Amino acid sequence: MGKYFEIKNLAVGFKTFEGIRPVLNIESLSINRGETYGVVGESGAGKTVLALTILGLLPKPAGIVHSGEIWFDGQDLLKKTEQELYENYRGKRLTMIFQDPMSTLNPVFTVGQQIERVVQKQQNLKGEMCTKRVLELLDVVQLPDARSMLKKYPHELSGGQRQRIIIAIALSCGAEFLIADEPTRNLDVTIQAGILKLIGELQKEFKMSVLFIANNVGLVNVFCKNAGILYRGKLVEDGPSAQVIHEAKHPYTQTLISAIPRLKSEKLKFASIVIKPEAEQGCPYYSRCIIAEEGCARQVPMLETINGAQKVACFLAGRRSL
Amino acid sequence: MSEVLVKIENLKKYFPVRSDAIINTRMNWVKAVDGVDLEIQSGETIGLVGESGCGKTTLVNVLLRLEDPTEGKMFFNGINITRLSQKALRQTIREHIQIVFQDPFWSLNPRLLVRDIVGEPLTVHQKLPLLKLIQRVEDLLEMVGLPRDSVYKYPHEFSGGQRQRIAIARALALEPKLVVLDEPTSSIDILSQAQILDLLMQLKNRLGLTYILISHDLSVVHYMSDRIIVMYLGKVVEQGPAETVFNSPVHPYTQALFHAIPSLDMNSLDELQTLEGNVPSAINPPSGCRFHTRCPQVMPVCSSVEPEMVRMDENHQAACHLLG
Repeated sequence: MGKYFEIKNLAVGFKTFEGIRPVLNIESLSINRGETYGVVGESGAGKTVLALTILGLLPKPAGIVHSGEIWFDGQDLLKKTEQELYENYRGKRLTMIFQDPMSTLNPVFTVGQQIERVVQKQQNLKGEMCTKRVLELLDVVQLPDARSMLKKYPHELSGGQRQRIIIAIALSCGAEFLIADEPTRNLDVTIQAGILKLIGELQKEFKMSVLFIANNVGLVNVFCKNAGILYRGKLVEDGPSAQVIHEAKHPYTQTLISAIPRLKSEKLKFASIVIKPEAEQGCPYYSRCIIAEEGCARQVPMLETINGAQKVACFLAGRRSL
Repeated sequence: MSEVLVKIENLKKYFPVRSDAIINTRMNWVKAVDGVDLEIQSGETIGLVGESGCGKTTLVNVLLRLEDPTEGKMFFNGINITRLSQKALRQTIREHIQIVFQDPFWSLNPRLLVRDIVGEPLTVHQKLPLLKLIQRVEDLLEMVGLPRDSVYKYPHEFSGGQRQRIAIARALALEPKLVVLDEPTSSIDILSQAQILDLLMQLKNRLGLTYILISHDLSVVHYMSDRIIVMYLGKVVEQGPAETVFNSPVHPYTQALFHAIPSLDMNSLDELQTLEGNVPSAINPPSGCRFHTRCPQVMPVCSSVEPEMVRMDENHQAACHLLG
């Protein structure tokens, strides 16, 4: 019996006119029950594709899972049929908060209708019972004045309120595994702090495991126990977030962290526009890596344990730093 | 060295709104900017900070005269631009104030070539012949770090960071004195953001520009600005040198704003501070201090008396009863 949640050698590609383009290639990623794991990467790194693959929501027929296993509580999700996923997993045990609170809700239905619908479908509650459950949910996400909230349309709510509604919908069926895909994007810092705290409290209260997707290292640092850095579909660094962030070993992670503006006197470091040609078979980061050596262009580095629980996919990790 | 480039006195911008009643005798106003005084020295970078809806963008739109002010006075380089006609504006200030908009996916016309996008201000103001224009556009593109042959490309052929470079090239085409940066990096990745910020700093030093930087990312503001202005519901609540405001903010709103950013030094969610509720409506702003509905240190006096600006030291000011 393996871990609670574990991804092994997952390879996902997208069909394009120029053939199949690899999007994700994750050797291993695991999350224990009740823990938080943060995935950080630039846009286009494959963060959202990872989330969709787990839920079996990859766009079809474009998205293809070449190989791999996604183990969730002893079952391989990739072996499940669509029917099984729908009936037993999606929404019930695995759930997701989508990225953009401005466009996730349907503008022509009231907030109440949208939550009720999910509750009705998934839990077979009707009438009074259903309304009661919806009010409970709004209470859970700390929205005051729940009854009047039900009759409102999404455009009448602020970004933070909308995101709370989306969280309520995601939690409506008591899922134990939550995927949060940049839940605070486009929100103000003060609202962002509130949403983060809310997800944190809910995670503790319901003992949920959370896969937290972010493009901001700072968020992952405060929110997640473990973190992984995704670069072009490959996990390049993985481990306890304190270690990954403060003792980064992979040159990409180091660059990401030093690109965060902190003090005026400090110079920002960043990978300049492509320095070297792409390496066909080598490390995906080869073309932008400052410390790359010849060997890096020939072979893809594997995730290797380097410092306790920290794993890095780089031949030069630890030997040199920026 | 410092001469005053922009001076704003008691600037107000109200937008009319219709209320729900069909026949309505009383007009309601959204007080987007409500009495802002501001001086910008030539060569400074001003960071404008606040939550969305606090009037940052309206303030700069009025300064650019994209909106007409309701009340107050604005001077640019000594010229009163408050009531100038559009034609007079074009002859006097348009060349000297330029803006880089928030989202490079919307601010560049998808049907125009980069040549026409960057060249448009040159055609309007300097009426350059085509060959010279192309030459100049190529120089500008090179200056912002794009290849010279990008002139014959369309915006969709570029990434977010590159598009923002095009927008910057367009803003700098006329060699302006003041450039307004309205959230220049909010829609691009962290690595591209670092590159753009670095580019902006270089250009500033090379061309002697003055920046007004709007951002809700406080780390960006901290990195770029000399002086920071914090706005809340159309009013300035604190202003001062960047280092002072960052290291020892005195207004509770500024403090809350800074403690809400998840930083690399924090270890748990408990260190994050949240502000209760949303920004109140600007139609009926709270009486007294506008922040009193959300302020963690609210006192009885706050709901009735509006606080005056208190001078902490020579450059650092804040409007709060706690300081009086």
